[in-house]
Amino acid sequence: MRPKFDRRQFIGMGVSAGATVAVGVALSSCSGATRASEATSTTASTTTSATSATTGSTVVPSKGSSRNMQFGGRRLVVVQLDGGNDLLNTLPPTAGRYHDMRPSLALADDDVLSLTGVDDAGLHPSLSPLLGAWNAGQLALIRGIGFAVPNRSHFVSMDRWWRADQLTQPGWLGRVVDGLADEPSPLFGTALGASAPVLSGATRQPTVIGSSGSFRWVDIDPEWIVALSAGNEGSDLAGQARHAFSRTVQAVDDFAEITGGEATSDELAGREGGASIADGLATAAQLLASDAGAQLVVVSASGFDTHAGQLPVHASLLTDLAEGVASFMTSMATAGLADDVLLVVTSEFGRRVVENGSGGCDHGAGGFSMAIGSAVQGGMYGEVDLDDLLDGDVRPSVAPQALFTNCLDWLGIDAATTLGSRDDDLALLNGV
Amino acid sequence: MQLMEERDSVKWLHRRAGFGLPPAQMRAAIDRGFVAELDRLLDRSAIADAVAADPWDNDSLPFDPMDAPSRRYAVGRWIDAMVATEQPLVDRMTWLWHGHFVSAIDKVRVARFMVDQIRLLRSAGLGDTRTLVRSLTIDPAMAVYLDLRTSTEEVPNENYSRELLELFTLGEGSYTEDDVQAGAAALSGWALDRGTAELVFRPRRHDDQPQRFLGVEGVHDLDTVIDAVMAHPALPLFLAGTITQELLGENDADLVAELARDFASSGFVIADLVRAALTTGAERVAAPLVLGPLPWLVIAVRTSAARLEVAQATRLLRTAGQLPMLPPNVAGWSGGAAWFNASSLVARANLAALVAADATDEDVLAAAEGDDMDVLADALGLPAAGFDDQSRAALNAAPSGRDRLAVAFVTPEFMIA
Repeated sequence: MRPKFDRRQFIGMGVSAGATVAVGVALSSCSGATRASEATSTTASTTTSATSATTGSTVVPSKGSSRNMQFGGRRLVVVQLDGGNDLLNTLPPTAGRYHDMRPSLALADDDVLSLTGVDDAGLHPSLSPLLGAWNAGQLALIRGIGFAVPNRSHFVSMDRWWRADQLTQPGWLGRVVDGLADEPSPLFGTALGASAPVLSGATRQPTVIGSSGSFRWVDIDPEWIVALSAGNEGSDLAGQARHAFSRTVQAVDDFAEITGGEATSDELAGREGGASIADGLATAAQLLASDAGAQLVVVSASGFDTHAGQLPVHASLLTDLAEGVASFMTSMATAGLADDVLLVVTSEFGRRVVENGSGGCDHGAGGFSMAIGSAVQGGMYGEVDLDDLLDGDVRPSVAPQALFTNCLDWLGIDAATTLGSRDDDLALLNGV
Repeated sequence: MQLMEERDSVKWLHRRAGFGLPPAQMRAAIDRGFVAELDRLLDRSAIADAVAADPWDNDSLPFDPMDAPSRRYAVGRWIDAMVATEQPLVDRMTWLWHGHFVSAIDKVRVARFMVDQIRLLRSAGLGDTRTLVRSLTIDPAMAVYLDLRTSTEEVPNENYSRELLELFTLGEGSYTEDDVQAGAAALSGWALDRGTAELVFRPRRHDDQPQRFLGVEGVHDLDTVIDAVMAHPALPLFLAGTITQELLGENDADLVAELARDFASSGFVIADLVRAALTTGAERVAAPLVLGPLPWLVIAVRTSAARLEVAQATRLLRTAGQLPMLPPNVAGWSGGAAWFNASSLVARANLAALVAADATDEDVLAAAEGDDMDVLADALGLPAAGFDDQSRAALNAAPSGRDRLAVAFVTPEFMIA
């Protein structure tokens, strides 16, 4: 008979002897979609000693730097809103033309949250969890971000964002990873929810964890998988597969140790199955606060391509985003990492100013980004002028490279070298 | 030019253009030889019979967007059909087109619409390109997925018009923003009748104004749009490039140009393009191609005659990133080395164990029990080169039998065709 392996044994085998495994009892209080997994109770049997995490926090404080940290310990999180988030309803203008051009889609003035210090735009009501950071001067809102000569194709536009508009080069964060002297630990660059080409280098690839609940070996012994990748790996497709397997075995071990082998949800992002941005960010917080060397995390979220029936969909997407970000920042503060993290939100383009006939709007140009963190100089960046549109779209006023430049500044990486120039600079960081 | 060994070319044909074969059937195919086998795969009357044997029962597919069981049924029956197919090229091409002319059930919701679209790909996927593209344009699932059903004269929706040009027929750079808008105007006025599950043309919602579209004057409706697309010089290159990329794993410009020329002079018959591409592929020792999780799984299941529980498999396929009817976006699955991401590899290894546990083919099981790794490689339909030293080490690390079979399924040799 073949030996029957089960998941618990393998998590046990995967973790080095004597390692402490935190039980995944601490579920995000804000994500809404979290629930106690039926497996939570069985998880206890796998732990050599259960570390009790603080109730209400997703994060086990860092146990020290057993692995070398890059960037002076600084971490960067990118939340990628796939589909093209609608700038105008995210930061509704106060100008009357906004209502004229969107008779059924414009938010009522009374519903829009006002932003202290800004008189020409407000905030979508779903984003209220971000007001605290705004009032603390730690939230930069960026409007009209996009390439001067835009492209309304999702794929062309995403590609330009990922590659900082240098389409023959790898992702702009991937270039940073390529430039490190030694290959970092597998979770150093992690993509949650979907693959993240922005993190893909020419020679080094991020670890992609699509669904945290199933990132574990079931009836297969990782020792056999390790044997697949032993020895010379080579650079052809087969060699890439072998290398990927070897990294994956370590990533599964590390991830099980961080999350206690259980996840906050079956899915990290994407709408189907009730997954959420908040779940993805809760996992991101766990990774960044662990000692597994995680420093660059991309959380992908889909659903922003609102061609039809936009109002309710967009409201719930932004609620998910805002609650997830607020909860994430709280977790980072709890872990003592408030000054070590920068979170930015990106999307490939904004949407057409005039609504379409389906209760939505089509692909546009100038879009929305934001940056949040204690190093951020809060405020409104970029311009929206509804009297000066570009082919019916918000005219781009901030180049995405400007945001990337500041992200690289944050990491202490020379932006001029990485991006080819630092001509674009939002200067949204304090004293970095 | 280096020629593939005859045995290897038949195996290659079935792994690339079919879903593999169990050892006994593979031996018979090898005896017939490559040319005869390709003829069998493209035999018109056998294809017609295969298409007529519909995998789904409409009684299990109510027009109810809230009906979750019908979505599981739709996906499960499709996977079963791919495993059981006796005309594998039809089903492999259906799968290929599903990743090209994309719709996804998370937006479409109604499983019956998705099934009807897959039925269309099965029946028209090797036929005449114009018929395929025209039918897909007014296909209910497509019209929901890319919003054509909401596009009216007053407020045209550009989503379908753009993807028709960018992703389906011509490629980025072969059209302008004006073309997208003209196409949207000319395609406006198609509404979804949920009673009959058909798209119906509503002249009062349609913009019949003649447009200049792709350099053609007077385009104003579905047929003139499709005519202009079909007449565009980028179309044969784009579709020949798609086929060579998906079947041969390469995009050599000279090869694509040659295939595109023949494709155009054949009157855009897809079966002719596929035949030419596969014939060329066997002649030139095609580039390696990473099998996506779905074709990889179906090949493993067919080859080992595994009695797979589809519900369990679909859950893992979703984690592996390739659940049928749920492509990640309108561009389909990205493929290539991207399939070596950690999440997908873990799910594949778990699927491999599941398949190995349920395998029933006696030749495959005997080979997994034995010590000759060349015999195992042959039983699994791999070319004569078999497993390399590292894969052999891994296979030997696993206990013989089903555990070893599971490891064999995740060797680079088995995952890369």
